[in-house]
Amino acid sequence: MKLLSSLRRFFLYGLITLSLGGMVGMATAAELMRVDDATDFQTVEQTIEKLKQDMEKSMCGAWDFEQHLKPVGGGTGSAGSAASGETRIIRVEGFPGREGKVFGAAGSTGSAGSSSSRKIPLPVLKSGLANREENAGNSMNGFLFPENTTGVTTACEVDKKDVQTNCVPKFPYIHDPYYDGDPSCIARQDLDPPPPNGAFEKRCTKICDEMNNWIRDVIIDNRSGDFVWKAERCRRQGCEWKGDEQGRAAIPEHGEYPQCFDYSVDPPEDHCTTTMVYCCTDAYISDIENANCIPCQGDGTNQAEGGCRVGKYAYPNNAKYVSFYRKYVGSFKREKVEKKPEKDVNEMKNLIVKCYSRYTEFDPKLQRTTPPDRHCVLDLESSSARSATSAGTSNLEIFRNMKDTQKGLGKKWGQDSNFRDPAYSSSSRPTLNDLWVTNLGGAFSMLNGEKQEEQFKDAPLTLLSLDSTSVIPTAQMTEDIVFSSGSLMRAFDDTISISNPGGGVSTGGMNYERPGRRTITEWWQEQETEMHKLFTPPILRVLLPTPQSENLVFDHPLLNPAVTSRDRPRATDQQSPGVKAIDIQLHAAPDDLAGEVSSYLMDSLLLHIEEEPVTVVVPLASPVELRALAQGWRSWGKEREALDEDSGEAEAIAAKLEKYANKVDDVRALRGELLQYVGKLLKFQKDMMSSITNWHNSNTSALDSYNSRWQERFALKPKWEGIQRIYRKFNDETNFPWCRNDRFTTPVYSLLDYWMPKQSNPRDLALDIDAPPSEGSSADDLPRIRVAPMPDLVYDFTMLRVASGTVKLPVLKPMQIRLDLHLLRPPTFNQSAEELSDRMDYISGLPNELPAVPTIFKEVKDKLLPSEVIKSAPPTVLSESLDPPADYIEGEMTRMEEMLTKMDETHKKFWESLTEDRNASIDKWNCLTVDALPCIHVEMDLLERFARIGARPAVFLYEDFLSVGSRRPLSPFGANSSDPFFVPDPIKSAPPCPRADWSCQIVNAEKTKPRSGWHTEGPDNEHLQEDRQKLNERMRTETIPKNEDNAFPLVAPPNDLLPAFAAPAPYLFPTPLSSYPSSSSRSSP
Amino acid sequence: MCPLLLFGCSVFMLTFTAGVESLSAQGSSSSVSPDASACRSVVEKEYAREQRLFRSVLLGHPKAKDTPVGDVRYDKKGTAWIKTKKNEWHSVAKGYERTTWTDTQMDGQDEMKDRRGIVETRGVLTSDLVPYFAQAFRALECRTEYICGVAAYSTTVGSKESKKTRIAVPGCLSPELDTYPACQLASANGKKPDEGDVRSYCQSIKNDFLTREENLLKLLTDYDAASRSLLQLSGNFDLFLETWRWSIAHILEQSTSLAGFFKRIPCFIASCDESPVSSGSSSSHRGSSAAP
Repeated sequence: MKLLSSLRRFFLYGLITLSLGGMVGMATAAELMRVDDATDFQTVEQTIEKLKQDMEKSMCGAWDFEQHLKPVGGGTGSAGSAASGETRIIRVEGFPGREGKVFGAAGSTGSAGSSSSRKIPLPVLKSGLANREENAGNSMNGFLFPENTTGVTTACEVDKKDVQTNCVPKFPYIHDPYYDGDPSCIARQDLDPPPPNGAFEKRCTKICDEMNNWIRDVIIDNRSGDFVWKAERCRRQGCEWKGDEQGRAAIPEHGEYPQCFDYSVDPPEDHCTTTMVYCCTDAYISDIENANCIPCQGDGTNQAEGGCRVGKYAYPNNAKYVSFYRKYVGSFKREKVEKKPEKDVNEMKNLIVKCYSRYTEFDPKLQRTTPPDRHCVLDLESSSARSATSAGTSNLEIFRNMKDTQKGLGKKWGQDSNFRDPAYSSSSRPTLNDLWVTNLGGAFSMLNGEKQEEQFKDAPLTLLSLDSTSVIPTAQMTEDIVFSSGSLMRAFDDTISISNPGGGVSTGGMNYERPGRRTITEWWQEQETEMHKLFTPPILRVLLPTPQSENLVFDHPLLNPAVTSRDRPRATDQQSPGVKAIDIQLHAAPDDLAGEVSSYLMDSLLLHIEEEPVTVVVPLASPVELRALAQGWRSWGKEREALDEDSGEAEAIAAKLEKYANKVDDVRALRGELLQYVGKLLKFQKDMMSSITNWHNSNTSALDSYNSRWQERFALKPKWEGIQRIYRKFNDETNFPWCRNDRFTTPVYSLLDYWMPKQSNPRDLALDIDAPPSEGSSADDLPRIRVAPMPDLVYDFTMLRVASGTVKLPVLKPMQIRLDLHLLRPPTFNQSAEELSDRMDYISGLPNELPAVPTIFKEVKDKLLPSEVIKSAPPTVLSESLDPPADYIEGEMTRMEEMLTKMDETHKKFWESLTEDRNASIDKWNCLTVDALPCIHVEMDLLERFARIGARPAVFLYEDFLSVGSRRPLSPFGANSSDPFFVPDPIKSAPPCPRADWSCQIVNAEKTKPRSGWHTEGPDNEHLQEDRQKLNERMRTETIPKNEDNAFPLVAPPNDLLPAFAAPAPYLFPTPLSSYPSSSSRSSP
Repeated sequence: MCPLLLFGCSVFMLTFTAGVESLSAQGSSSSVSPDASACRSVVEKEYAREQRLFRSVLLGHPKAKDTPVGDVRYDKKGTAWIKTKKNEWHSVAKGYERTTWTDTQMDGQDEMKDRRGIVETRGVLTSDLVPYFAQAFRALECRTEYICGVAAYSTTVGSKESKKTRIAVPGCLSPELDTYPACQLASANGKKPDEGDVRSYCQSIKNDFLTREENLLKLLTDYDAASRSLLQLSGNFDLFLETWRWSIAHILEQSTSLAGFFKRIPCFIASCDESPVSSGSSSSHRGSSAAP
């Protein structure tokens, strides 16, 4: 059987040898040949050279287009000539079976030159094997039985135990492997010790003589010839009858039968005779033509004397003779394939086959064979098994040398063929209306000027607009796009049935039943496609934003809580940096930290922060100076008192000044204002960052888990690879013992047995292959799976839009105005209290305390900053999961493995029976155990089997090339696809892959989700605006001294201080006048 | 040159008018006794006003309703007003603590009229604006000369009220200006040192002031040039980023799909299904033929 033989060999080097169009076959399994990556042209050339050399080393294959199956005008082979009508298709004679018809309806052997007789009908070409002749033979059902068959027939029945048990040796009743598994021609108990090699055949002929020794005693009336008395039991000649248990005498006296006597005379005449007749036929033992066992010859259908196939009826009891041993001597012959191989064995004679069993006739196409049916063995070693002269080599030797004799490459791989070289189409769609035109320039793309003017105003932008292209890997689509026409060469198997005697379509004189259908081939190719789909699960691709690109630093120390460092590594050390806490030890001074925080916030892209200055006026004075003034007043007061004058309020003034001095440095507290509330912004930042980080991480982990389940999908892949390996081994080794080409031989249906499902009769060749596979098939169906392809998914999360609004951060800008110390200066010592009363009153009227240090942080923290980060729903978090393969798939794969293993074994036995070591156990050669090597051949299709054995060598001839399949449909989703399972859902369906000729590698569709990502929005500043203004106003009113007399004396009057409180106006970018929209214009509210 | 002259002339005249206004407004106050420090204060105020005026010529002076909250303006008397809310202006000057002005009132009392600044001119390059900057600066120089001239003259005025005078400055107009009562030292028996103080002080701050304004003007020109270039560039760059991003990023994004395709290029060899991983078991391939 040659399943996918041609297909596989093409694909072995299909890609590189596209232009060579050749075929390589090997008698040994292919070794993988590694080629270098094609980095430059030289490497490619070297690789092609390497391949050519490798192909030269192969043992067989290639094409020879000039040779035909039926030579024109006369063949030159020595075996036959054109006049005899020999073809290169084998003709077998001398075996039972059915012949094959290849050529046209006329098929006449005489007119070798007429074209009609050389034409091969389409169904034969589509199938790859010959049409079975259904109308020949004596029974007009195609079955032929050779006339030169010799054998032995017997009228005795099976298991007849009607024998004397006390007379040895026992009656050699015919055992039958059909009934009890024992080989015929020998009794089981006689198998110990087993007979020597070759004794079996002799045993069968000897048994015939032995059988003929068994007679039955009778008393016959001579006048009528009737039996007067007949012994119940048979006995062996020469074995004395001692009487039976009941005490009856062996042979009664004639006197017991009055009818023997003629009483008309005296004494009465005894007309009876005691004689012996053959046990099973009741014929006189002199009548050897009606003995228990007689040799047979030939068919016997229309012959009175009967033959091995149809025995005669015995006289006188009309028992039918049935053959239990037949020997066939056949031969095969065909035209040689010329030139190569040089030693083509195209003819063999004296092929001896011995079949040890009662003859049962059936049609292997309709009835499955069982182990008892395999009861024929090839005799390839006996002295008469010689094809050529009697002194030549035995047939066994010839078979053993076939792997050398049949070697030979054809002439070419299609280099000089008259078939077109495959042409690559340079562009599959016309681009004359696109921006970049590829049709005109050969290797260049040219710019379409009109399109450029339409689309782009500026020339440089044209170069930035890259053209997009689609990459479509195509298989062979149409007649014009030829990539490898050899890939369509039809593979075939033994499930082909073309002709049906009863019905079917009648064309050209032959009846076609399932033209072109090959169950196992189609099944296998369909399953390869499905398995490929199974092992290409959808891939999930996720585009995530790189944190660095958007200045998102996930592990900034400011955002992660401080953790004291530990010596031992913790489990969290294995986590990604995004979630790990990083040890920091803060020894930063407040200023440094504030600066760090500010710079971090300024760099952040998530929060857009603007400083809003809040002006406050604070008095500036040196405490030393104030104390000096106080001391001055005090001294003056003491002086006055020393002079006994009124010191007025000098002491109070001094005390007041000292109080000022104590408090004047309190303005330093203003430094800490910012830090009090800027931390809130950090918290916002942290909130946002952690949301994004968590989302990032959950997507990453979802992707990881998806990927690990994706890997699990491949758990079954080694099993599938094992199955493929069995098939490959079968194809390259088991079924290819030497270079052979089975094309156009007849299918051997008996080789389907055991491994092909459905054990019941009649044989079902179709096996419901056209029905869609169900999940989990019964033992009667082929193991099939069906996988729905899922599309790849691409998620794009790279959309990140940063803050559109700003957070206005109020920052205190203290304006330090000096106290007007001139007003506070102590008097000179000669001034009296009365002179200073105004001044003293003035100073006493000043407030006792310095104005309070303004504080804003509470208000800012509570009211002026946004209160929280509002998170709307995040962009998608991946939730894709991948289911493991369905449960039934593993079971189906196991069944596939079993089926193919048995198929391999069946064929292995078939071929080993030709070449096996005959010196092994002699047990085998006696067909002691049926269905064990070498006793494995089925009698009913011996002719087909030898047609298979002697088929032509593996050089492809002209007609082989015509046996091609059909191409894949052009449109991937065409309505008229030939795939019966086609479901029109573009994403989830696979383009049609007609399993009759194709096993496809389906590329998953890809589904891209729309871009999504994060977007941060700043706070709505409108409602915070008023609060900020209120804050500004409060600061202004609190800190600008009033225009009262006892207002704090600052060197500048309030009117001069007011401009410092002006808020800087925002700069408004003018909107551009041109038509290009500028997305960069950002005006802060 | 004609438009230049016209524009320059209009600038000039505007400043002239505004200056006349402000100078005369200041001159009417007579509540301070004239001495050196009062005169200094007056001179400083005048310079401050000139600076505000000059800045408004360069940068513009919007209407009161168009200014943001927190803007500070001066009225004709020199009082500072701050916009506390929309349509509300407050002051801290004596006597005005509780007064609230509206935008219209502010506009009416504003020391200068609203105007567009030179830098607010659209559609021109900075180089085209430089002559106007120069012209405005020249006007500023003239006006600062007036101030010093008026202050110097005021020291000789014997009365307490302000008088009108004409100051002749080479290269400038000769407007009629009021003297400063606070500098009219002659009326208060001012001493010579005071007079010397007034003159020298005015000159020194005039030099400082002009130097500073000149440097600031240069800075402003630089900045303006930069911002205009940036505007030009940003528009183009925006467009570039958009189209470029699509060209490149689109290709890069498609490359992720291509990565998948390359992995799955159909293999036309049947033994493609046997992955290299299991090459250890591919030794079964190298088995010899069946016959021994």
